[in-house]
Amino acid sequence: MAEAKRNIRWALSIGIWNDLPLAPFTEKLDAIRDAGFNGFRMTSYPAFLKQHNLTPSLMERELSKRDLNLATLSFGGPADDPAQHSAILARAKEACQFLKIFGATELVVFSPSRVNKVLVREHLRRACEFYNRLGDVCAEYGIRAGLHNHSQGQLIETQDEVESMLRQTDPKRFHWSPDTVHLYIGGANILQLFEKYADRLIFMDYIDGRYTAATEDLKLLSGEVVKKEDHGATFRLTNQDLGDGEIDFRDLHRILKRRNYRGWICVDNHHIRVSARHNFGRCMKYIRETLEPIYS
Amino acid sequence: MKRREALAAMAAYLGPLRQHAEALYGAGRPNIKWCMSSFLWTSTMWQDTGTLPYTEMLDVIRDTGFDGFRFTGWPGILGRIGMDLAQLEKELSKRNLRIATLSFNGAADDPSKHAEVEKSARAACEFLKRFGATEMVTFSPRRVNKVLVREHIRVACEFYNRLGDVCAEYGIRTGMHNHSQGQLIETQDEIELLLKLTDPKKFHWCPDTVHLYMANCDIIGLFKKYAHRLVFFDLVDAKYEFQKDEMRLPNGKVEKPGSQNGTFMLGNRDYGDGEVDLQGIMRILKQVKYKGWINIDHHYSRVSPRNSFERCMKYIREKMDPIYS
Repeated sequence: MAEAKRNIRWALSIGIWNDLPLAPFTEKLDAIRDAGFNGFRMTSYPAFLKQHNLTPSLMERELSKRDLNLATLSFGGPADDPAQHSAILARAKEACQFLKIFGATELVVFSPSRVNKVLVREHLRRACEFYNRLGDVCAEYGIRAGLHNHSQGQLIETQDEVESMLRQTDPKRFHWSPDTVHLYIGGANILQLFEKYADRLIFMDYIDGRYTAATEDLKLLSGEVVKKEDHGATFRLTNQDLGDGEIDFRDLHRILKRRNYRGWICVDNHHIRVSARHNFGRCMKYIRETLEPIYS
Repeated sequence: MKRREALAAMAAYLGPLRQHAEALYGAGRPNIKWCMSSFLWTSTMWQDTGTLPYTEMLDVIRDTGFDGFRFTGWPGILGRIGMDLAQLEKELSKRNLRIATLSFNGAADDPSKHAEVEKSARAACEFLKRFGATEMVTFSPRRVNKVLVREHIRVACEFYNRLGDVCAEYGIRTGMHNHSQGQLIETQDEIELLLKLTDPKKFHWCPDTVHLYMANCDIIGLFKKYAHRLVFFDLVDAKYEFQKDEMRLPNGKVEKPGSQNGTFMLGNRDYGDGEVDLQGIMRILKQVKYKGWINIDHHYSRVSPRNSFERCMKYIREKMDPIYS
């Protein structure tokens, strides 16, 4: 299918290289391009630029050479603390300016640190009031912002929290950028959520999941060792290449088709078992053979 | 006076007394016995040291029309109630009260602690058996990161099936009490996973509605789906209220503004003042013919325990008893 006619563009999260041997930016871009993806999500902005000695113009040039796009970036902040709101808005403006340079139109927003469940409701209320404002600020730059759920210690983790956030934010101002593996670990009914809130989707992370508790320390390809008791070990092992886990991507894709979703899907694989090229290649094979015949 | 006349006189004398007692103790309830939890006293009314005015609490329980209470703080608190077990039995008997159950917990998700927890459970069952109680309420271990919850629940559930067998040796049924303030079983998916991973013949369900409410569960949905697993439960009304001001409790403890415990306590309401569909739950109990205890595990009284429990009992008599009792 001609690229222009595609509804879906596929991205990878560049954050996965944190678990891999050090590599220059261009090598990462080559792996993304060679695996058949259209772009990437930048993590750790703005530190990422410094880490890779990048300027926006240098980055633009490298992307252009490979016909790749910056899909979005990961953005966070203590949205539940009113004292921090102006600082977060200032950072959001800067992030939007950066995204705009690259023609990106979505900002993926992560929620603040988790609090005791009893306090979640109040912290969510405050955060959602702010998210509406954040949405307005992003809209000034032509950017839509949406919430990314997270199961490793962030405020929006479980199905009730995702739904509460979607109820308390204005659908015209703030959107939804879910992550399937975090929904899976959060014990959510993923299909039900997608069916119910597909109209709020502006971006999403597709990652397969199969719960695997770590029984021994996990040695990453970077050489770093994650202790088996650390939730990071179990989380990584639970991440699977598309098609290897328990998440029903076919049905998710049918929902996207019914709702005429147009936009990015990011394969935010958090654990590379063999190599970036190998695992990204496997995911792209699944996309081409299984998902694209449903909706592309 | 002849023996027959004496008996008739005695019956005439006891008649009104029996009616009074029935009104007080709800003898007209064939299926439900109502209790409250001593936790309200141990956590908000009494200080952490010294001998406790335990009989004052027993008087409140009796005077407000309840049938018994859940014993909390076992076993440590036994040394502070100012009496031995024989005396406690006497005090309960005097007031026609029962120990309904006790709160039990342990590191069920840590296999190296299982033998110790089992030993403690045996002692708890012996205590309950002495007082004629047939249920033990089990609390889950400390909360871990959500990523690890599934594995910890799996380990705990394997143990809970064993724990159920141990309790059964004493004629006791045990079940899980969900908790929203930092325990492993907190959210709807965790409760459902626990109920899926435990054997319905061995391990049961002892939910708490205020904790279900705090965790945003579909309370009616859960009760409809799992009413057959109920062996005991805490029915507490709730309405979320974030703690904006400092709270000074009767025992002298202070909760700073914004604390989770203060917010939790304020979320507890007397029956009818909150958002939990208490009457809907009673209709479900009627459908499944539940027979057993319902506990008002009130964690905070705005005026006094006596005032709160009088208000709750009024609601029970006027709104709940007509549905199912």
